[in-house]
Amino acid sequence: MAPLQVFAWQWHVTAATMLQATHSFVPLETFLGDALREFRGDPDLLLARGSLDETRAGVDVIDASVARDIYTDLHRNRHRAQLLQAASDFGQAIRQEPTLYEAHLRLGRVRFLLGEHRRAEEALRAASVPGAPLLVRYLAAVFRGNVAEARRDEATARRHYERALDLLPGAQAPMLALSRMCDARGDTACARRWLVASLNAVDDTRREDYWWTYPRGQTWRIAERIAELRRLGLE
Amino acid sequence: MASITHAALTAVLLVVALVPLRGATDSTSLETYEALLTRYASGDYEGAAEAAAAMTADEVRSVVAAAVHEAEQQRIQRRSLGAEETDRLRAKELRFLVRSVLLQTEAATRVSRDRFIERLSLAREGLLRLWDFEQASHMPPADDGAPGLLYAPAPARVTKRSWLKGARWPPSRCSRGNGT
Repeated sequence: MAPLQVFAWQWHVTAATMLQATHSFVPLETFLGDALREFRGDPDLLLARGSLDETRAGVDVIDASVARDIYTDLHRNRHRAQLLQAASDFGQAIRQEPTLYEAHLRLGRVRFLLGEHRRAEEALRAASVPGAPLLVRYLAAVFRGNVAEARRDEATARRHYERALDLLPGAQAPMLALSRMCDARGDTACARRWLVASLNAVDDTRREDYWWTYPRGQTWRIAERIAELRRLGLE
Repeated sequence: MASITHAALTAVLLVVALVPLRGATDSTSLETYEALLTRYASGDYEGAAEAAAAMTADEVRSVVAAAVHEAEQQRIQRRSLGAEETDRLRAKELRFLVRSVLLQTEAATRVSRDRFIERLSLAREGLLRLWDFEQASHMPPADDGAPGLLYAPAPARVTKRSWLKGARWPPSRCSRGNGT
């Protein structure tokens, strides 16, 4: 591959990440459309586009549990179509690059949101391997907890949330999940303990939980991508 | 009548006085910008990007256009240049364009939110110039009957697309990080 092509590709991926970081969703959509015409089938760009659809779907339906009661069929169908589109992009990205673990993670979450629990668990398991980045393994544990909860498998759900806390002890999301599970079975003291722990785990300067930045796609890789762009351009 | 003549003369004198001044300003801007690129390349990413972010988009466009124009002028004369000198000029221009893309990309992260897209677009313009430069560099000289740099073929971008269609990305992907 000619070095200029590599540089141009890296620039597009980096710029897409910058657009994600600033929540510039409208320009990002156009940008990714153009970029994918230039770099057809590129897994990182597909991952970025899928992440955009996933985030937009999340904004469209904040609480899926009440979607049937408060949204029109049209709205729900559009939401589902967005999730399916995201799943398609993640699936393509994985076919191109099977070790793109974040694509497995997001595919698992989208499958979960589509109600496909078995397929969700499969994808999330693929994201839980030791070679995956910490962020991916942590979120995979949280999402596997969600899937187990939906299957009413409380013991497994608790195990996944505890595993998430092993990976990221200061993370708030698994603490809240554990608190909610305690509350659901009537254990108020346990619920309060996890709730207080979650409140103590976060302040204005300390937000260790990757869930905070999950809607911003691959923002967590921005420093790495800028460094790589510099390396390609200056070496 | 006398006052009209006087006014016209004043205007002419003013224009005569301003022409060299404008030239000097352009030249200084280009030099300043090149110094900024050197500063960036030497590792002062923060400082250089901050300084670049303080420039307006029009200022950047004007300086880059001046640099490209200057390089084109030099390339037009390439018949009289040796291969070594031609290569040196080409490398210099390539370095300028690549560093400019990098600098403007990083400047985009340091401007206010309402200027972010504009600044990122500026970086992308630089990338397109880079494509065009690469395209032009692989064309035969203008004097052999084939369309060359002087004719700056409009379908350069179309050609670029078809060139990209054949590109295969996976082999080098292995060397890229996966955020681990």
